[in-house]
Amino acid sequence: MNYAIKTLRDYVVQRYFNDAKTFYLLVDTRYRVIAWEGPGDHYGLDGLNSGDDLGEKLPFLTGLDQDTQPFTRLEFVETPSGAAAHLQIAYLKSGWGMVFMNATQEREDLQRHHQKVNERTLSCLKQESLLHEAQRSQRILQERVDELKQTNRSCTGFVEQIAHELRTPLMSLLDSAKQARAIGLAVCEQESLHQHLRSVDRGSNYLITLVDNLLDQSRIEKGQLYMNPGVWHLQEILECLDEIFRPVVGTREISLSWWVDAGVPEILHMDGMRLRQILFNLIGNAVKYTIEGSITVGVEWKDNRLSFSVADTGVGMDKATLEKLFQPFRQGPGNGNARLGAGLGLFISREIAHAMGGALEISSRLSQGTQASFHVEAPPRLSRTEGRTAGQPDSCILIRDDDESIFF
Amino acid sequence: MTMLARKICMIGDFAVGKTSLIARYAHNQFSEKYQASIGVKIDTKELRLASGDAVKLVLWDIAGTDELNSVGQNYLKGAAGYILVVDGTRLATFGTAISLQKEVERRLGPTPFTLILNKLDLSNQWALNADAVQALQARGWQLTHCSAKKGNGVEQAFQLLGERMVIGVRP
Ligand SMILES: Nc1nc2c(ncn2[C@@H]2O[C@H](COP(=O)(O)OP(=O)(O)O)[C@@H](O)[C@H]2O)c(=O)[nH]1
Ligand SMILES: [Mg+2]
Repeated sequence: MNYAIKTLRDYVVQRYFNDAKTFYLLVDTRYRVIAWEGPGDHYGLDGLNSGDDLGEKLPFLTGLDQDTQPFTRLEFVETPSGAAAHLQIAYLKSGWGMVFMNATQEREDLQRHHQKVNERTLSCLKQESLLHEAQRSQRILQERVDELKQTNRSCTGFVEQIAHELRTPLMSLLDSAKQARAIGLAVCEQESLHQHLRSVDRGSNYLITLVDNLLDQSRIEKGQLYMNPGVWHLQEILECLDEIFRPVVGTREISLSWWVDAGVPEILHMDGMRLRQILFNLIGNAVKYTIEGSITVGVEWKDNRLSFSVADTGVGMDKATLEKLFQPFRQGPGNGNARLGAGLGLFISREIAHAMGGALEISSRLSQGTQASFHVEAPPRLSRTEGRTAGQPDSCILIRDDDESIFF
Repeated sequence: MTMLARKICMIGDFAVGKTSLIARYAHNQFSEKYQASIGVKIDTKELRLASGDAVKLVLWDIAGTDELNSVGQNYLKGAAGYILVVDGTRLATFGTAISLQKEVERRLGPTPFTLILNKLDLSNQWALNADAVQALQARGWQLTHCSAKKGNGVEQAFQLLGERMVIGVRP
């Protein structure tokens, strides 16, 4: 015999049919035993006597008399003993003839198979519904985010509008204070008047910086922080900053030094105002958080890239503070000095560095100082005549005060 | 005199709770563990009708599939009624029940049936929309919300079908 056929025969016949336990049973139309033969005990049908009522034990016959076909085959019927049987049922004139064939092993194998398949299907369905659930949550979240963005946009618009409206009266206030001071200086020696005027001056300066920061912040949010590049003498920018900060550090035990690499071109094409704004912010911070020691500004230039480092020996900050440093409206260390708007400075500086084709980063260690580094794209220019930008000022107007207290 | 006996088949997709509904109804039991059914298992339960008469329900728990093959069809022979079972947390089982109903009716002719929306206890995962359910009710289908796990609705559903089957059978 062919080996494969033999295997098949051995497997199927041995597993399912060798143990057929065929049992024959005849009952009358009212389910009373007429005759039987075979291992009835296997099906829970043992100890039979002629005339026994099997109505309870053969419930599958219920309703079959309605059927018009003479034979019915029922597979995998559970019998009173719990064994499974394939049943061949004949509807005879005198009643019912039944042949039971053992299907217990077959049912067990099939059961195992279906169990596996069905469980797998159910778990796939479960996963699918979890996925749907997750997608639904995500949609809801997205809607919420969109709503918040919308709210944020209208807030930004509102802040921007207010900032614009504040700026003009503030500027004229500042201007008036300056004039009053100039006149007062000439005609009046009274120190208290000067002090009052100085504090008006100081206050309006602070407010203008704040308003300008808010305006920058809303430009950034709207993606409208545009650069205005022109031709600039770097030296002039640095001198202007030195002029601003020199008197401030002069009152304390701080040295402010500039290290400009010899390779830095004299004239560069960039937005000098914005560059000055970054440096002003960084040096301002260094001054603010350094009580004694040094502040060193280093400048290098290579491959059209102008790099700065502003290092101080100040209070420094821990990792947690460092991580939150670039969030708008967050303050650096020393919350006692916290002022709204000042917290925007670093965030705006970094955005400006990005907009100028560069990057800005800050490293710091508590009690050891802070180092801010950034670079911007700045190709060299031979002379200023190549194009002078209309908005470029002649003098140092970035900061309108010589009072150190704005840094505190 | 022997009691009137009526055969009822449980029809529906796999794992909708056919076996569990019978276990709850006939034995007041429930198991969380899923055990795939093979072939058929028959239980009986005596039902007292509103008229006061008793009827023996012969409950056929038929292994669930989404269609009836020729072997499956034999299980239906002589059924006086059937229960379509839907798993309320699986929308697809609703469609299966509707298509199975057509097949069963083609096989048996017009026969009393009722539909069980099972797993009511899992209402937070409920997948059936009310419109689909109402559309069936509009077609005259009897629907019962049940939980084989908690037991609610089960007795009523069988009672409902029992009454329907016997009407017209007895004077
Ligand atoms: N939560 C809950 N689970 C149920 C309910 N009915 C059945 N189940 C579970 O659903 C699975 C399938 O039930 P089963 O009766 O075997 O379904 P069948 O394949 O239609 O016979 C099992 O794990 C049951 O425990 C119910 O009403 N509520
Ligand atoms: Mg089952």
